[in-house]
Amino acid sequence: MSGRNRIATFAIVLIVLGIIARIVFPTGEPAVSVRAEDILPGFTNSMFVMILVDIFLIVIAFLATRNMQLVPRGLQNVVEAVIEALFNFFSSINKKYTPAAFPVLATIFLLVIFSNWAGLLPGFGSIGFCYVSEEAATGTRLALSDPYAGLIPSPFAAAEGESTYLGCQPGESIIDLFRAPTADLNMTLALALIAFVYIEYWGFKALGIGYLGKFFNFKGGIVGFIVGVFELISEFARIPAFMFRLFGNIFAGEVLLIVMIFLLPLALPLPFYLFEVFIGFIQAFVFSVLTIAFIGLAVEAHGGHAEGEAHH
Amino acid sequence: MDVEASRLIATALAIGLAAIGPGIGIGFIVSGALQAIGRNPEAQGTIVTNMFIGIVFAEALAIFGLVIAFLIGFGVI
Repeated sequence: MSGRNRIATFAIVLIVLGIIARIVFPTGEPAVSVRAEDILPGFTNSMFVMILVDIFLIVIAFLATRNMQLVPRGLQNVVEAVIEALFNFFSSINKKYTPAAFPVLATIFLLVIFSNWAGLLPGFGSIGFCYVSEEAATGTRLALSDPYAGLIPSPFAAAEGESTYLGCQPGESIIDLFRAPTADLNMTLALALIAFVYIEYWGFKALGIGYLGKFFNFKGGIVGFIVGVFELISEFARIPAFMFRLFGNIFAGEVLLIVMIFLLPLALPLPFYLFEVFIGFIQAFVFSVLTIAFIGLAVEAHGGHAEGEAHH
Repeated sequence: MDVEASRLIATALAIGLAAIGPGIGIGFIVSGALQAIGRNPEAQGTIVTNMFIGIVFAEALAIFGLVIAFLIGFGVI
């Protein structure tokens, strides 16, 4: 059997299994929530996963550095390789400021990439609590995030028995226990503000109070003043750009996966899962790369002067 | 036209119109990158990295449209 035949057989088996799963486990409409839901009062599911990701990163860092050797082996080797690759990459963008800014950049990268990838783990969007919502009770809408929710006994639905649906009953909504932290606007806004403040910090540190001269330029005449105003606007436009880029990509990926699972389980979501792994990496990469690139722009002296002419 | 119908049309228009510009832009970016790789295959690594950064900038515009589409579609705004 050639490789191509094997792949075709595998795909056909997946499609058949998907159709069977679609018939055996009846589902309603896919339920998607833009905002993170509370699992405890004031404590959202994305905050919960955020804490889990933090613990994971801290434990990895602790285990890798517990017994450091000059010639690294095992976990220490892996972590060193990752950190070194990151450092070399940031250095290739901005050699001068990478050593000082690296802790923040690497933290952003690692936090964002594991937050993105956490959302792809099994159980996200399928394990949760059922509750009767007004929206679901009044309409015919059945709130079940995906077909696989039926395979995992929901803590409340199982106790009630006599269920035609294995997950939440008709008329109930699901509150997910897990949600990718970066699929929550609060988290991405916080990251965007941290990156923004850090960029401005470097601007003030390198140029002193003269950094404000970039934005409030009274020496260059009317044209210089208007250019300064545009600089100021584009500086602040970075916050929503950072925020929506990350949130939009990850949340759109989640919606895409839910819709694909809803259309045809097993076979259809598979390539999209691969795509989302790639997107998760690219977004983490872009967030940290843009931070260092903007730091590079911020520390540059005001353009149009003698030193500015040199590389124009 | 009731509110629900206009909401559906607005959702589709928001993402549909937002995807036009970035689509053209990403086409230009990749075309330029491929030409550059064709002229200078040794520089492939740097070109591909920078290509992705450019793509992400263009793609961000479509993502803004997508976020707005979601917000309209799920009735947040």
